[in-house]
Amino acid sequence: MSSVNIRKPLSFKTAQTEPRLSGSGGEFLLQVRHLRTIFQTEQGSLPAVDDVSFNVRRGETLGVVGESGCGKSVTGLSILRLVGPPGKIVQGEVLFQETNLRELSRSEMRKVRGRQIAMIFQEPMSALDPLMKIGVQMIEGMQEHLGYVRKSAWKQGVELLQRMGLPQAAACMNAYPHQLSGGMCQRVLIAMALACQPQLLIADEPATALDVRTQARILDLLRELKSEQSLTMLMISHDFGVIADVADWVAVMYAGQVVEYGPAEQIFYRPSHPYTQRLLASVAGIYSHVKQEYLPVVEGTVPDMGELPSGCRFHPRCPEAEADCRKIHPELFQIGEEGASHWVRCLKRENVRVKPHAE
Amino acid sequence: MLEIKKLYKHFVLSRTGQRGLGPIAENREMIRAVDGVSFTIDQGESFALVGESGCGKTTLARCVLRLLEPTAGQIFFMGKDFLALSGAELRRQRKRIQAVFQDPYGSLNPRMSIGKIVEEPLVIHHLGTHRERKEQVGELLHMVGLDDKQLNRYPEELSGGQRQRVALARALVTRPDLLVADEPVSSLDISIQAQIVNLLQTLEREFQLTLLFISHGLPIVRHLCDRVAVMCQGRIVELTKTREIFENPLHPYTRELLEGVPEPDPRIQRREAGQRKQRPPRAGSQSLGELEEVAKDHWVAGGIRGPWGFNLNF
Ligand SMILES: Nc1ncnc2c1ncn2[C@@H]1O[C@H](COP(=O)(O)OP(=O)(O)OP(=O)(O)O)[C@@H](O)[C@H]1O
Ligand SMILES: Nc1ncnc2c1ncn2[C@@H]1O[C@H](COP(=O)(O)OP(=O)(O)OP(=O)(O)O)[C@@H](O)[C@H]1O
Ligand code: SF4
Ligand SMILES: [Mg+2]
Ligand SMILES: [Mg+2]
Repeated sequence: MSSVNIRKPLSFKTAQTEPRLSGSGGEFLLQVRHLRTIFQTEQGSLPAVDDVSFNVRRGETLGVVGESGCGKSVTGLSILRLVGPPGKIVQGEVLFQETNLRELSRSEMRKVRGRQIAMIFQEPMSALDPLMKIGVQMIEGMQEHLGYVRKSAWKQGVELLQRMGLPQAAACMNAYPHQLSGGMCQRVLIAMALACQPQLLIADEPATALDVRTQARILDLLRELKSEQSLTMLMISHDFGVIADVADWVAVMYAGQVVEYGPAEQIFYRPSHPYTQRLLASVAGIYSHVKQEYLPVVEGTVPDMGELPSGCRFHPRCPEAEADCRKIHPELFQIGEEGASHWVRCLKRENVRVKPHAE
Repeated sequence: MLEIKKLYKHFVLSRTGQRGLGPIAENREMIRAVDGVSFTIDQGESFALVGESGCGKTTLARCVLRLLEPTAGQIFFMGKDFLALSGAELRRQRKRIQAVFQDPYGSLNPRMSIGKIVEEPLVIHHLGTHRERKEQVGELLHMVGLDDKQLNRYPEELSGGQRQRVALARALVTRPDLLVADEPVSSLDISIQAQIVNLLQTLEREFQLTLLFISHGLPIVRHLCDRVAVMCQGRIVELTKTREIFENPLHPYTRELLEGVPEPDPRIQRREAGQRKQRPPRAGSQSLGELEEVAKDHWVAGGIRGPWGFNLNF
């Protein structure tokens, strides 16, 4: 086993050459406003991300949860403008340090990607180039963005892999992806994302292929970067344990939209939207130590993006649905007391609403 | 049903063309990915294989599927020497074993539609008429929570979790006797994970499906599996009933592996994160000796003390 001290802070040389975006950033590092991304298919245009808005403060973590296929990955990819055809961002703003990323040129965007905003992709083994050595893929970013020479980038790469808990990190740098296990590939991707010391990290299921012990090591590292270097994160995960561990805020998505959004404790302890409530019941079932015949699930199936239900998109599955729910599409409204910062998209919670979101 | 005897898989690394030393093994030339593993799985049982990332789980599964040639050892499937089979007999047995791989994207043909992908095993094994096949495909997609509208889509048009369910539907469509599933639910949301667990449990009850289930998701293992084998550096260090493993783990490695599953509760996790810092670093060396039965059906690798205080290995 490696004897690397995982608590040692990451040592980076500060690069002087980094391209600074205009504006110092203000309170929010990332503001996503009314983002809409569609896929043109034979069935028509599918709104994979439909009017999504949220803000992330510098140094905070927003956890994104929601049913498979609800648009979490596409949201992350849209922020970085990595959605390829037939997908297209058709509406909305992505403000990073008050610069609208949608207005940057391709080359400006390339400088932001990897350097200031990094992403850990879902499905680690497919995200790596099978024909290139791990090390060569790792140092690419450091050479391009930080101007490192090959040797020091390589050394930095080994150090990063060691901190991810990879045994024999130096040898891993010389291996090809197929020679590593699924969890090892995932850790390589995390190391690559952190290599250029980004300010914002979009992590799409970063710890699914890891055992609890390794996962805790990664979470501790992220927590440390968060407190020491104000690393800001968008954490997409199905693992409510991971979300509970790192997220300050949680956004719950359903069928391309944010249906509930608020501080983590609010969402975990006082969920308001019927979908969130059922999702958490299912979480409680799986985490319970008592073996059950049948685990609770959110009944019904996810709607196909091509044929979304009228009115509230959750109505065919919602036990609280009423006639209005089939006709009126609810807005995302703030509920509770002023300043509670809890938003819900549900007609039956409107009695407690305060004001619409993102105004 | 499935019996594995002293299975070894070592990867020999060629140094040619490498800068410095070979990958992984710094001064060895071999990785002992699977290093003398033996166990049996009964018909209708679900058997979990858990262990740290990189301990050899996937390699073992690939050997069972004959996608990798083991270095040494034997595999018996339904009493037959599986490694010695060939030709028509091998094809016949293969139909009864299906698999879901850890990387769903890499294992689905990108040029085939979802409907074709799920139907393919039926076509290969000449099962059913055209109509029966279509019906079965529709039914399975429904069972894993996918819409028939997705039949004509291609893998890259789906989300990670949708692809994982396509792989699962494909594996179940021939109604196999043995399903080897490597992280089959890791990228699914909790509600669908629960749905898949319910589905597998039903198949187990009604069709005597046998399951070799590899996962880091310990809560799922706890609900789904009858027995658990804990793997460490290519060997099994503890093997017993699921309940026993969670409530009375004996091997120190098992304890390390099972402790600290993140709870879906922010306050608990905040406290937990503080405590993690104080926890001592992991034990460097592990006892990886032969398995010994220390209590009924509870096997532990030699060299550790039982709960009643004497060394089991003297
Ligand atoms: N290239 C594409 N063409 C058509 N539809 C697509 C394409 N890529 C994604 N989609 C659709 O967009 C929706 C959102 O996909 P996305 O990958 O964001 O889901 P997700 O929330 O990340 O799910 P998961 O948890 O399963 O990863 C899905 O319904 C998917 O089918
Ligand atoms: N084709 C290969 N060539 C060389 N080494 C390999 C090869 N495949 C796997 N290995 C090595 O064998 C060991 C076990 O890998 P394996 O994929 O079985 O792990 P795993 O238990 O499935 O881990 P994970 O939980 O991360 O998926 C690792 O050290 C890996 O680097
Ligand atoms: S608007 Fe109606 S259908 Fe939608 S979540 Fe609220 S109660 Fe349920
Ligand atoms: Mg995704
Ligand atoms: Mg694996």
